[in-house]
Amino acid sequence: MNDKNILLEARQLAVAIGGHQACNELGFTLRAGERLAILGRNGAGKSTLLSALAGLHAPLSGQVLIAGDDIASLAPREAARRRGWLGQHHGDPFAASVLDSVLTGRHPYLGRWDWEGAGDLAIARAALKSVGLDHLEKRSTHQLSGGEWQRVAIATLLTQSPRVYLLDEPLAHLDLNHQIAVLELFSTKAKSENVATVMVLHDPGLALRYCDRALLMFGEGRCEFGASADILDAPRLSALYGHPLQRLDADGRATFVPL
Amino acid sequence: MPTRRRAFVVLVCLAIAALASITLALAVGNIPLSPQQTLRAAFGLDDGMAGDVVRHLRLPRALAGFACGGLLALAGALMQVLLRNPLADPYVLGISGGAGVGALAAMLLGFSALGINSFALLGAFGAMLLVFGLAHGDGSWTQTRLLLTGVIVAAGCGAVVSLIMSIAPESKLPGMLYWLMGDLSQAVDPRPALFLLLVALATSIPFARELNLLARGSDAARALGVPVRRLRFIVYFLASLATAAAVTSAGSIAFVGLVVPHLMRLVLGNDQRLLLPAAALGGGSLLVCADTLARVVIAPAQLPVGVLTALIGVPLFLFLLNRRA
Repeated sequence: MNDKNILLEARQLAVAIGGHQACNELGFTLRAGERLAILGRNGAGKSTLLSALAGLHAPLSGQVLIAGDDIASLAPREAARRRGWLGQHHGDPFAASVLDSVLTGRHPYLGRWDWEGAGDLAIARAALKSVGLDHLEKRSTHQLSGGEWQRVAIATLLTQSPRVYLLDEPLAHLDLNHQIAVLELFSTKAKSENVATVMVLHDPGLALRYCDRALLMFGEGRCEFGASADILDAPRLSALYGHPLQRLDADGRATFVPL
Repeated sequence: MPTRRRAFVVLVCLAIAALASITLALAVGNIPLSPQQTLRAAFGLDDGMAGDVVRHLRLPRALAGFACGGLLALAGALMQVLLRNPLADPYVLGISGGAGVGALAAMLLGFSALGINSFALLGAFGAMLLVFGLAHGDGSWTQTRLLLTGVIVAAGCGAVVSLIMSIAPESKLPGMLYWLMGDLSQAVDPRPALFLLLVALATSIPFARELNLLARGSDAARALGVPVRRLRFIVYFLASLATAAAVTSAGSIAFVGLVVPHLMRLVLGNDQRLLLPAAALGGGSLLVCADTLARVVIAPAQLPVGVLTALIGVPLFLFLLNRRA
């Protein structure tokens, strides 16, 4: 397996939380430029699997390889240069300015005694601009709406500029225009910068449109991985969510409507 | 984010303020001295009574006050990050409670100042290890678990302190009360506390940027390359050690550890690279000023300094809080 293009690989991965199996014997590879959507019901273990892929949650067995190396064997800062993780937000006890918050993404590139320099500031400002928040850089993070906070977190991740992006519900709290903007942003990034993205999504239509790979998590360890065009169909998704869905097509774009 | 240059300027200003507060403490008292006399005495150029008073009474007490204030403020700032809780202070995890039990037990048994300090130190370490061991129990070591364990151990220590006070002979009660309120007149030798303050600062400042990330949550910090487990152990032991040193030499002085980090945060922002040294300098200066006041307001009697830190700190804090709001 010396394919340099493989950025993320799961080998025989078994992950569980609180006695519930999220996946078992899961294996897949993700190459540069590929985008993977993780879909499944609440509690199926999507976030847990994503944490395990990020090396933040120890798997029961198996390995996660980031750009060829086992994530568990990487030094923390090296790991942070290779993969970035967007978690679900649980509040911040201390306020900081938006710009300071975004600048924390530079941490893995700075030595112990370094302070953020002009180059880091430029990177952070460019990241804020790409999520449309450049006018808010002086605002306190305690005065942001949920959607603005989410975009600040995405900008922090862009500032970290890893090769693999692991996004847990990147569209949470975002209104429709920003949802599409964020998906477009990562699509463009995947193609132009040869990064791989994994995102937990709730809308199978958006998953089909913006991701070329999909992982369906049925709960209790049963997972299905494949090209989104092959496995995102109405029967499978109806089984996945336990609710009948119908596929509708408009201008070559599919949506799945609950019946 | 402050630039390195701005941080340097701020710290130099705070250091000058600290020196000024110590000079004030040397000049003011039952025998008031002029600035010139004070400086001559402090540098050993005065062999008379002024020199004696300054070098043997006021200087050790002022330095002990500065060290304790600095240790408490630094410990408070570290605890607030460790527990991700703005209400955390150095005493929240039961260390001062443990020290209190030790100190009061020594007083009950009629030990000297040295015995009281040793017992206080033993009590502080006992509480620290107890909380650490219990919170560590299942390996998870979450903030909530640590906080709850600490609060419960502190409550237990409080009960033992009450028990000791209720069985102690009446003649020993004032000494015990003064100890519990925090009182610098019992400080013997300022050098160990000063040394520890330097060690604690030198150990925590290299981790300051990682602490900025830890304040935002342990998963987010780990994702950005912070070895969170190791960092939290270091912070816990540093904060505990600093608290134990302060409490052992001056009792449980209230408020410095909670309010000084917040004061600095309101004025300077929340970058730990600036906040930690600024809190140490600010806490030291505040305590020296409060102690100077405590010596002179009802002279020749003295107030316990813990009362004054709260009386100075509360209005100052509320003013700054409202100014920002």
